[in-house]
Amino acid sequence: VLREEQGDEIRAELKADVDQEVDRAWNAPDPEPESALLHVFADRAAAAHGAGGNADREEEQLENASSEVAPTLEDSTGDRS
Amino acid sequence: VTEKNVVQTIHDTLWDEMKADDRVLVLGEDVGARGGVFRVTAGFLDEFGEQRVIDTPLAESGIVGVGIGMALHGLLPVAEIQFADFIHPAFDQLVSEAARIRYRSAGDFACPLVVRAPWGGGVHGALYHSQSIEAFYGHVPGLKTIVPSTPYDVKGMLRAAILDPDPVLFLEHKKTYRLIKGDVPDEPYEVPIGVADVKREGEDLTVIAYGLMLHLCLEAAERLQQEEGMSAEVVDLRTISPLDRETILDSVRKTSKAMVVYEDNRTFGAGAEVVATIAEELMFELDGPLVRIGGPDIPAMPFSTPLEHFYMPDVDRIYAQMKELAKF
Repeated sequence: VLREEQGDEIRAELKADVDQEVDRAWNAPDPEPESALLHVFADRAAAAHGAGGNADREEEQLENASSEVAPTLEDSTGDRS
Repeated sequence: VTEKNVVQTIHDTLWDEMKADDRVLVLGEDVGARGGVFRVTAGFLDEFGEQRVIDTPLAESGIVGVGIGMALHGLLPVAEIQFADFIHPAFDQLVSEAARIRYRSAGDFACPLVVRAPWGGGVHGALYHSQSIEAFYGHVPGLKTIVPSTPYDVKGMLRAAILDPDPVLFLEHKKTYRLIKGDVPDEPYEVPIGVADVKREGEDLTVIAYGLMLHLCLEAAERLQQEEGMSAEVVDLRTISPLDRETILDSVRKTSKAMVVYEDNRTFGAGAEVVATIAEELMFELDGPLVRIGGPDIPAMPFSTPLEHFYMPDVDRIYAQMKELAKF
């Protein structure tokens, strides 16, 4: 049976975890706007699908958009390797 | 190399992929005991068993939803929607879930799901066995919508779809199933998704099509050559989305004239995007108006034969428009 003080302890731990992640999120730098184009498809070129304009320009935008790297096949759960 | 029709090619390719990788499985209405209404999975239940050949209830949302779950957990499901006309209950699963899983997880999760669906008219199928659905799904980033139309492309693109780490809607024009035959290499190969193909080279105009319309355009182009001595370059889109803009634009740059042919309702159809792309990029290189042939804007394919013929673009109509544009 869970005692009241044990419950309080678990709640406090969870609150600390959540507070820590919330603080981390608030203090993180805002993402580059162009990073919104990432993660549409597995491959980067196709990630620009639907953005309009020519493919070279889109690719260049993606290259400059963010240090975030599009996932490789191996990175993605469920991908065939 | 073996000559096959489209439906036999789909059967054989699925069979080969299931033999090669036990993560590949099929699910859908009547795919098991009956072998599919078009016999695409005939013999599969005996060979692969009920764990990999799954007869589902008549619930398209459930078929796709279960497929998404399988894909997320490392399987490679190929879900069959018996007719594309019935896919609408699964729209939410495809658009809100499958297409967004990679994006919403910032690349942490992928959904390597293939959904096969027979589509298209000209088979006297009326309201619920004739629909074109490519525009609905071509509008959705994160989902690849493909329309191979020859046995060679069907084999290569079905393999590519199964190998693809993202969800793919694989549309099969049902009138091409037994009508269109061609040589198919016996060994496995891939035809890349997102790459259109020039099926016939020409100089006087570019014609862009897919599905059954591709074959009608090829026939009309041959007639234009024979009767008028003019050549049409016929581009097979093969993929609706992501659209291969470069192949389209390269061809139109060469011919300076373009028409697009599709059987879906003309307004907001896939051809509208093709025409808009050409207009955006090549406006001042064109020597004639952009021509768009599509089905009329009516809610469904009529059952009556003359009305169905009125709906479907045919070789005579395509030829007449080709000739007019070539001579413009």
